Amino acid sequence: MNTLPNPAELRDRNVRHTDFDALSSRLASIKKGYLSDRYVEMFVEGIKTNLLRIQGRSGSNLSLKRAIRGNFSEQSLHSKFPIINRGTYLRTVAIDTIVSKFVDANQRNNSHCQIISIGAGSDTRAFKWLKSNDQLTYVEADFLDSTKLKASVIVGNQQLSSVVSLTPEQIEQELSESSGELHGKNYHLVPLDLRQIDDIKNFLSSSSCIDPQAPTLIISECVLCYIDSQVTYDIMRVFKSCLQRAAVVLYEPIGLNDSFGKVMVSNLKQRGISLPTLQSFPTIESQQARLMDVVSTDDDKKVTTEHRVFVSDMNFVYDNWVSTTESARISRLELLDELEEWILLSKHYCLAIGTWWPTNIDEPFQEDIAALKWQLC
Amino acid sequence: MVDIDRTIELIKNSKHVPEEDVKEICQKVQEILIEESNVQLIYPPIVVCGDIHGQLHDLLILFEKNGQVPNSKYLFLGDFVDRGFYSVETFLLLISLKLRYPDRIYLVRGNHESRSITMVYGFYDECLRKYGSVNVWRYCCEVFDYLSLGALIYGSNSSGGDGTGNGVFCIHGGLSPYIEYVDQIKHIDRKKEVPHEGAMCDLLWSDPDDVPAWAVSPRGAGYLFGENEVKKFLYSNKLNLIARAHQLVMEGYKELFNGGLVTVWSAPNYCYRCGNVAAVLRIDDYLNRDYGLFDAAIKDVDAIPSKNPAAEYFL
Ligand SMILES: C[S@@+](CC[C@H](N)C(=O)[O-])C[C@H]1O[C@@H](n2cnc3c(N)ncnc32)[C@H](O)[C@@H]1O
Repeated sequence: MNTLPNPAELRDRNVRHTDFDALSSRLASIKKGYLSDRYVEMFVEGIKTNLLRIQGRSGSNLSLKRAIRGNFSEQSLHSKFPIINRGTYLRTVAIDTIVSKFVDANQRNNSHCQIISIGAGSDTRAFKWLKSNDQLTYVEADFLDSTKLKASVIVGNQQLSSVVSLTPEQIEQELSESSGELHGKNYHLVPLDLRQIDDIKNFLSSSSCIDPQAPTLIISECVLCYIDSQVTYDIMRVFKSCLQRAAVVLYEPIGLNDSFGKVMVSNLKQRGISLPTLQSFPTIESQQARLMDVVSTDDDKKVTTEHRVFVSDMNFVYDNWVSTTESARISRLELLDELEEWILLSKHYCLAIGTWWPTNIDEPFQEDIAALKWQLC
Repeated sequence: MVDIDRTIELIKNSKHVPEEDVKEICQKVQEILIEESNVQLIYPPIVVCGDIHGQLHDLLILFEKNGQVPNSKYLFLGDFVDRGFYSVETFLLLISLKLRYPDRIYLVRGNHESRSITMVYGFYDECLRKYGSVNVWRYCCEVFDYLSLGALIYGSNSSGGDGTGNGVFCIHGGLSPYIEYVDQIKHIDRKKEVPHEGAMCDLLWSDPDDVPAWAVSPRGAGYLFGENEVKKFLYSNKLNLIARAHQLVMEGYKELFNGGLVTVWSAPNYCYRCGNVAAVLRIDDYLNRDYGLFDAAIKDVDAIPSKNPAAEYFL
């Protein structure tokens, strides 16, 4: 029996494990008071309980145990530096800002809307927003191994499974045989390898979870950056061609063609992680061009669409989106001595949005986004 | 009784130094430091170095390139510890050299040589990890309290007859609105934890910036000071340069205000992440400046022992 994963499987596993980094960073910044989100702790506990059962195979248990210890021990949570906590806070509130503009705009219109989080990992945003919005449908997709884990955490926790309104039968079913797929009232968790464009297309066009006419927000929070740059075009284009009215929001690193970017590439390479888009789209300008390329593509649909693109680096977002009272609160949490490093680090990440909508309707969300401050728009 | 030459060799070869020896070295070096005044008078030629931050291997490169102690004379402007993976060894090496060659190496205090900062930025955790208790951290913190606050380097043609100054004021952070004359620093009672405000805090925390006068620092401690403050200070104290560290400079060093102030940064590829080069400032007998640039010893993160936490990003 050959239990060693091949190099491609190994690469995918390394990419899936980045989710634990994201989750543990979030827990660390919650513990320090930057963020509050009671679901995060539930996920951490759930993952500790279920990871080996769900993903354990002979040969990989050691690395799973190491991943848990490396990410969720008291020591590793405590030792996150203030700039990491601040950056984790910032990415979370930046995307939450977009989500809240999206949800509010549709609430004003009293229209049903949907969020699709690709590579959602152990993100808890769905629970936060579903709890207070019944006009919202939230869809999460990730690798099968990751959605199996997420499903096991949700069905194993009563509060989580009640937020997404799972029936006792559904819970029983997933507990006895994990499928990595959940369908609650307004919540869907689906396994998808995003590089399989046809699978995305099938899902978007034939699944009952998706309403192709409804306003849609697609979130890629540190996800597309792990995928071959050309393929990321195909992924975004398939969303463009299947959904009539949507916006895609990206949060990801940019290389800026400088030595910091180069060191980032080589440091992550040591962990078996490559970041193709960091080099293909190294600046906010190239991110703008990339999204423009996607949203302005003509496709076979008959409707003519309008489109807009907005991009800022995270340093700009911090300086312009975080209110003075909030930033005063943040600075009091921990002494952030590493100012130059914060500027350097935060300039190497960006937030980018591309939106498209049919010409014959108003898109209030788009106007709300345009009202925010952007470096490029 | 600890064999100091042997300890220096141990550290240079990345070997463990027993806790008992650390304790003894810390106690002995305090006896030397306590005799030093708040602002030490030093004569050139000298190599002035900025932040090191636990990057031991880069410090060894620095010595290799600029001459070993005692062959060359050094002034380190603080921030020996935190962030890098070898803060304990870095600090031990520097104080061991101080103990062995007190007139060939001078150490001034940085804002990271403080109990509260080292609890956040890694030195505390490192001591705990490497020694299993916080004793070593305690011994080192006691040494921190005895480190002097700054230094004055005087040129050998002390006349300075043309009205321009003839000296370099060296400090970790920068100026303080409470300090007009270097002499005032001598009155500070320095043997304590770095306070959150006041002159001693400012000297360790302030930054130069493009501001008309004193301004609030975004760091939450110290001030921002502008060209006017620097000019005034140089003129009143008959100096021609302020040499300081404290801020990461991608190019290793940066002169500001017509050369009236320089920031020197001596931790290459800071935090194994920033991709910057490092520099030292060499000052000769006539106070001429010459910058020596150097690159990181560990290019490859592979070479960093894997038990150390990796440089972090947002993933
Ligand atoms: C760094 S994590 C981010 C998780 C989450 N978006 C967050 O910000 O907390 C990256 C996620 O993208 C997922 N991912 C990467 N490539 C993928 C692919 N080809 N198909 C599906 N998911 C993918 C990984 O499994 C992982 O959960």
